Amino acid sequence: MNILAPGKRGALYFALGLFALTVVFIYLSYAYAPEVRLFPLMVGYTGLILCTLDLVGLTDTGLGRSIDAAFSGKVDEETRKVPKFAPKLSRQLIAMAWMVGLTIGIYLIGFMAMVPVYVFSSMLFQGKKSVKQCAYGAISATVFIWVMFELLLKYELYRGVFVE
Amino acid sequence: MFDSVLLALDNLLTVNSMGFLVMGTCIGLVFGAIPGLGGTTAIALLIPLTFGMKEFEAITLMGGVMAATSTGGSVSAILLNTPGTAPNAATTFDGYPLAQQGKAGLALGAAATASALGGLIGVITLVAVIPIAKEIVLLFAPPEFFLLAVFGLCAIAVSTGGRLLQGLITACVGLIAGFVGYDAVSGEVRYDFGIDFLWDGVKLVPALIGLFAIAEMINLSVKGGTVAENPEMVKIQKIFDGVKVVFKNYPTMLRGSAIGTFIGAVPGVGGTVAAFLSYSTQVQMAKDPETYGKGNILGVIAPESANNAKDGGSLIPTLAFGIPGSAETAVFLGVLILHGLDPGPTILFEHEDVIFTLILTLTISCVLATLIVLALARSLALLTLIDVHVLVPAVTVVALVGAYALNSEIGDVFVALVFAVVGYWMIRFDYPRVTFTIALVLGEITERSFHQTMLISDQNWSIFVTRNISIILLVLIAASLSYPSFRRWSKKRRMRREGAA
Amino acid sequence: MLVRIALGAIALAIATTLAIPGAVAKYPEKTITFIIPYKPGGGFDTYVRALAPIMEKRLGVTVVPKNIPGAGGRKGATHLYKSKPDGYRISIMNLPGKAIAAIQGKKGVGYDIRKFTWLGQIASDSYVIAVAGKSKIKSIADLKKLGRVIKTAGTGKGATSYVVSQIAANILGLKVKLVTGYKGSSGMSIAVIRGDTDIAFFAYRSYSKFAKSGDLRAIAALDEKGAAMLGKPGLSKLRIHRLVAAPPGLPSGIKKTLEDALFASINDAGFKKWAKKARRPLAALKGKASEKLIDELVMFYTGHKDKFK
Repeated sequence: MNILAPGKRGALYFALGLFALTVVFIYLSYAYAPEVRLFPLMVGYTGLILCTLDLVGLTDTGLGRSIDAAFSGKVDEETRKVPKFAPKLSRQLIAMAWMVGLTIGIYLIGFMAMVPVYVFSSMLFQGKKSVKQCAYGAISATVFIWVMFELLLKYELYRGVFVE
Repeated sequence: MFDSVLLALDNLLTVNSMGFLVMGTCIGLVFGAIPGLGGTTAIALLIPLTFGMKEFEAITLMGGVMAATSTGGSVSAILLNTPGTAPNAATTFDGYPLAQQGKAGLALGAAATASALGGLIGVITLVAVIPIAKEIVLLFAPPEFFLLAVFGLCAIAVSTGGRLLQGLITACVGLIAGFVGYDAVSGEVRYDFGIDFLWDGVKLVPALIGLFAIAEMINLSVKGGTVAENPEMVKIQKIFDGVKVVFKNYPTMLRGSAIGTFIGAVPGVGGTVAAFLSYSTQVQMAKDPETYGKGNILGVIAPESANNAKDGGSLIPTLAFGIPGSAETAVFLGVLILHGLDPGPTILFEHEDVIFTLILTLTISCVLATLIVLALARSLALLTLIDVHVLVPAVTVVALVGAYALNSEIGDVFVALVFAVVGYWMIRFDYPRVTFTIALVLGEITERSFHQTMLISDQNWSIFVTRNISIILLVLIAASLSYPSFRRWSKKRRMRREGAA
Repeated sequence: MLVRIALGAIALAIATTLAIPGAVAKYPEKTITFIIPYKPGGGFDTYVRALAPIMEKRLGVTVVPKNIPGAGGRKGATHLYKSKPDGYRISIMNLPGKAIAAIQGKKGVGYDIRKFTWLGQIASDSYVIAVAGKSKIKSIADLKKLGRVIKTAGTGKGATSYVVSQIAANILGLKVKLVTGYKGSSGMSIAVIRGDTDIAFFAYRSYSKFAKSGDLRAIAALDEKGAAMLGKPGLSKLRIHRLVAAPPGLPSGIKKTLEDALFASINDAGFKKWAKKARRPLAALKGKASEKLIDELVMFYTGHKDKFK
């Protein structure tokens, strides 16, 4: 069963995700009073229709092709090309995991502690830099943030969940 | 009026005032360039400093900040895909691809020049419309606000090239994100999942930091290398070419400035919409729309001229009724109150010299900011030659601190993260981030003005078709939505004709 | 050297203890955060930012204004309610806005208005009912003659303007419909001038600016005199109050320090001069009087609870 247009597997998951989000949103909206949910529901149902069209447009069927063409403003099927830059999924997930790790780290131990840890380890493991370079990077980033925000702007940057 | 201008000049041409103006401009540039900080934060943080100043000195300091922030923000938008302030987000679409091609110097030069000219045009327009300022402000009532917002959404969705459907979808998702939090119309808190952080909704700046800056950092660390894919180009860049290209393409700049001034005058819509609308108009009017988003210099000039022109526009409601036209002017008016002035509808009669001091300050500052950026552009462009494995950690941490600094809330850092992940997949699968951003900005005003319209008209939908400006806006909406089909049809016809010939 | 530092410290400790009888030793010793539950630039923001440097001088530590906007001011209030009662977090509060959301039992109200530690009142202002300058309506009687539901502008349901309009309309026997969603008093003014709504209820100060330019015109004043003229003295209970609160359970010593500093700051010559020049009304009250006021007001509003559902 290969009705999916070529090279669109990833896009399908994303489109399904958006579809699911819209459904959940519509479901949540019904918890509110009619006048409060009126406008959100207008948006929700419009979104649901659009998401459905998008999903159909991803299929390699006559209907799918005409939906794709109708919205694209282009004459031929040149749009249905496979994207040229397609990195490995694992590589992308790892890059994201670093960001998630950084955010959770900031949440746990605060900016001033997490910034050097992150900069150092990111440069070391992702960038394969020498330990000395990593140390320089970590120190300068931390000092910059400390001077700019804490010293000059008098911000008290978040210190982590353990500090009240 | 002429006396006031002279008095304002007299206020301004002192060593102290000029010193504060230069200081304000520099602070504005730095605060503009660091994501999350921006003009409102800068002015609020500077307030205690102004207590010891004379009122016009405080005005020069604040005016300097206001005029320089969006110029500063264009620098990080171009070099790092990180909009320094929200209105600069539209600059990333073509500015950053230019930086990737090694043409950062050209883009910086053009952005700075467009900023200065846009700023000047905004201020000139402001002075010109002072006599009819009240009428302009009263022209727009809730039905018009609603239709204007819908028009903005549609026009921008259409400009997303071949991705109209996906653009409309992300617009819906943006609106959905915008529903989170307090709804002023009903007084209810919605979609908060019991988290009190969300009572104030999803804030624009952390969302933009995630969507543009951090998403691009993820992208870069996947790709590796440096931002500029062609390092040799960076070194031979002539900044002055960027200046010239703006003058050569003056229609784009003028159009951008006009859009910026007009949209800037509409309270609650503001600079972000102005810049995006200017960008999308440029794309739609271009003969070669497919080159946009890939490094077309006109795609930098259009939004940058608009987002500086908005400063002049946002003062129109202030001069008319003493009410702020933007978040920056709101804080600025607060500063005036702290200095014992009482801005109101009579502000122009009572404090004419204050107003002209501000206008002159804005004029001087936007030119000064541009000169500073032009002078530094060459060295700034070298940022695109830094190894991404050094750049990514550095930019990420500053961006996240910026997201936090906006409101000192750790939740905003998580907002940035969520939007970064979503934004990354949006880049990957070619779902436009433009419409998403604009929906997030316009969501609140769209819903609010819709409800107000219904209350005012007693649920009578005909209110939308019985008012002159509403009709114009409806026609614009229809025209913008049918534009892609029209374009396809005319292209087909041309091809057929050529085939026949 | 060490001896001198030690002596200094002892002297300081004695001085503080003497200055604040019965207080926890050494309060205040670090930065005090003055919360503004709204965005920068509004009326509450200005009062706090003008007051902070003066309180700073009285207390000898930095007083930092901090905006915590959200949910129409309820987020900031809830934040304060949950803060540690150590005297380092205080907030400006408006009544009846803050009370009403609580009486209505709206979501996003994480506080009991009567349990806050009240430090005093900064200002209070009466209301007026205003129409557009060009309007033909001259009085309440004219409004009634229209024979239809009167539209009035407001910021949001649960906000002060909402409460005032519902109760006042009820007392005056007017049928009103509230159009909400306007940004602050300036947004409401524009709504009335533009003709979105027939009337709006303004705090006198916000109205006076627009009256001077002829854009708005009052058809009734709700201060004591005006209410008496309308034959409904109860209307004068409807006022906007700007108070200062600390979290519940603030130790009495700290409360006294803050209360005195606040009261003295509001009565400070410099602050009074500013308020006069910027035309901001002042009405300083101490903590006890504020508490009494809150009790009275909460009773008054609870009595009208059914008017705002």
